[in-house]
Amino acid sequence: MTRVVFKNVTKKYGNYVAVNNVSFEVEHKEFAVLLGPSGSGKTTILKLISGLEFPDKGEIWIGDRIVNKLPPKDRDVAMVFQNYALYPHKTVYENLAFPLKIRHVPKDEIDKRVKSIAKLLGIDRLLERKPGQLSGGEQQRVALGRALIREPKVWLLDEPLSNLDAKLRTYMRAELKKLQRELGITTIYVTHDQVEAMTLADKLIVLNEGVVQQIGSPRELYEKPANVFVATFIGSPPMNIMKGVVRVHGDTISLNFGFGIIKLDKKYFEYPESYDNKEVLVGIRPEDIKISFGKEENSLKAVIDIVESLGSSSILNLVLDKDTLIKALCPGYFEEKMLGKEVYVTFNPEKIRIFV
Amino acid sequence: MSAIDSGRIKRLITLSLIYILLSFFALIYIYPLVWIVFNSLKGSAGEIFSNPWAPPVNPTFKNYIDAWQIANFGRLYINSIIVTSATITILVLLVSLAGYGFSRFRFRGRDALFLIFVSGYMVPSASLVIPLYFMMRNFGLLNNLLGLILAYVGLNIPLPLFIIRSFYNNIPANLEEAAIIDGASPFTVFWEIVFPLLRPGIASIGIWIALNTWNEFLYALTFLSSPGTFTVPIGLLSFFGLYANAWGLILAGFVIVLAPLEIIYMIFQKQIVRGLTRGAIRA
Repeated sequence: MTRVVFKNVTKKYGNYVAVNNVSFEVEHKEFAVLLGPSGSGKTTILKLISGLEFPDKGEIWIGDRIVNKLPPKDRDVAMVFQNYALYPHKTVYENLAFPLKIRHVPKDEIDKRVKSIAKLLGIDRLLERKPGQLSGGEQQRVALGRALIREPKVWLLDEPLSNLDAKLRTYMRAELKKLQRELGITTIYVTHDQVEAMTLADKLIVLNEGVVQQIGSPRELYEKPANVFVATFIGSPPMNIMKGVVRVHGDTISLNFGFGIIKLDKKYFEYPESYDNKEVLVGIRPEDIKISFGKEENSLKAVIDIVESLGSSSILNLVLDKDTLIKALCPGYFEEKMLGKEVYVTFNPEKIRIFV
Repeated sequence: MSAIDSGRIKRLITLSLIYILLSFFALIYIYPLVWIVFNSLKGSAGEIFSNPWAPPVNPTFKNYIDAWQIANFGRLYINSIIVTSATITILVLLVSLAGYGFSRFRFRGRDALFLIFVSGYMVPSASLVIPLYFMMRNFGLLNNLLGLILAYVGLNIPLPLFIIRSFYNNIPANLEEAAIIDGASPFTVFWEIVFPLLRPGIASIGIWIALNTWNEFLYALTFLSSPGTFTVPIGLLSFFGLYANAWGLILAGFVIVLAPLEIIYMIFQKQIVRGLTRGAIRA
């Protein structure tokens, strides 16, 4: 059973705090994704788990051991780097064999395992080539193979798909997920791409400036983001955020945006009295906005500013007032002549999020 | 005439002019060497002075045989090989390790220290002869091949260090990280991963050090006094008399001194240029 546990871990570089009091747990065989923008501390966390860096505070557990001061070779982890870090002067065979060779595994055993992993990853015909003679996708498979050949307890992947073209990335995402499930290795994956994170993760850990923003399943983070950062980082297009003032009247809540007011049943919100008469941020996802050409109950007036056609659906950029622009994702095709047209928007009350 | 034709003619004319210019400069560089070889194969001083520009009428290797025996070039070659190979070995080891430190480790004053080492290249070696002489005398290193080796090592640190550090800078740090995670010890990381990638740089600086050390005359003349310790360039002095010079022997001596390095340079010139420029461009 291999769990990875981070308990109140902090890592500083001089005065710069790269990882700030981070805690999370990755269960045995779980595929956890660390998601965040550049500089959020994701790669630093990976380096702390691998042993390339040591924490200043807190505890790191792999399995039933604290590994804070343990060197990388004793942690039984394997890592795939963003640029693969293949040894350019060694053949594919030698790259795959290297982790076993330095552990003094017998030659025939090395040969057996190299050929087996090469066949699994579809690179068995490339064994005599050097990394410089491989395509991006082939290099990536060699890097995966080198990380898997030791049968590590934990698999660390640092944006391994970022150097691939879009089509190959989509293909490899599925392959990676399938491979991880088949092998059952506890995996921690780092990415700044929220689509990758949403499709791969069993557990999603969102980071910003070294601080954990939210931990949960992709669905939880998508439907119930804990704060505006998570709400706008996950989802494409991101969640619309508008300023409003809450008033609680008996069983209803009114949200006054300045340019319009909507009234909703109190049952859709948790502890609404706690933000009565307060200015809040109101979030609604583009797909939870309904567009109509006639005024409806609880609707707000808007003008279509830009239409982005996606084929089977369209993203409408809507102006609610001079300071408030939102996006709505609507099924079907909207023509250019719709630009400037006045419409009415209605928000799905079950999907409205309030951030204090 | 079409635009394509006139373009082609222009390119041809430009290329021809370039080749003519390069041939002219090549001639200026090569002819002195050819002149030395021609005159070293002439049997007497009279033949040399009667027509110094002409090739030998009856070429002979007598000057080479006599020069070798008189100057005891056999002994001189052994001394030069010892000094050059020891200098290369010590320097390559030193700058490989120092370059790694300057590239990979962050410490206060790192860049300033590196600049101090590299700026030594701007100091003319002749200006160091006198202070070095007194230092060597105090340490009992005069008239001693070890003293000369140490002087050459110190003299030749700047450029090799500069080149090796830029080679290190071009090796991505995560190659070493990958090896560490794979379980490699620091020595294995250096020997199996880093060193093979350094080989072109080490070959380049090795050849550069060899060229500088083999032909070095001033330090060898100053710090060595007994014939048993002389290096190859000193051997040439044997043919310069108080009242007259044996020009045939002198010229043959030049060829004996210069030939090995010229041959090495001609064989490895591509690697030398590649190593030096790659190191410089990516620095």
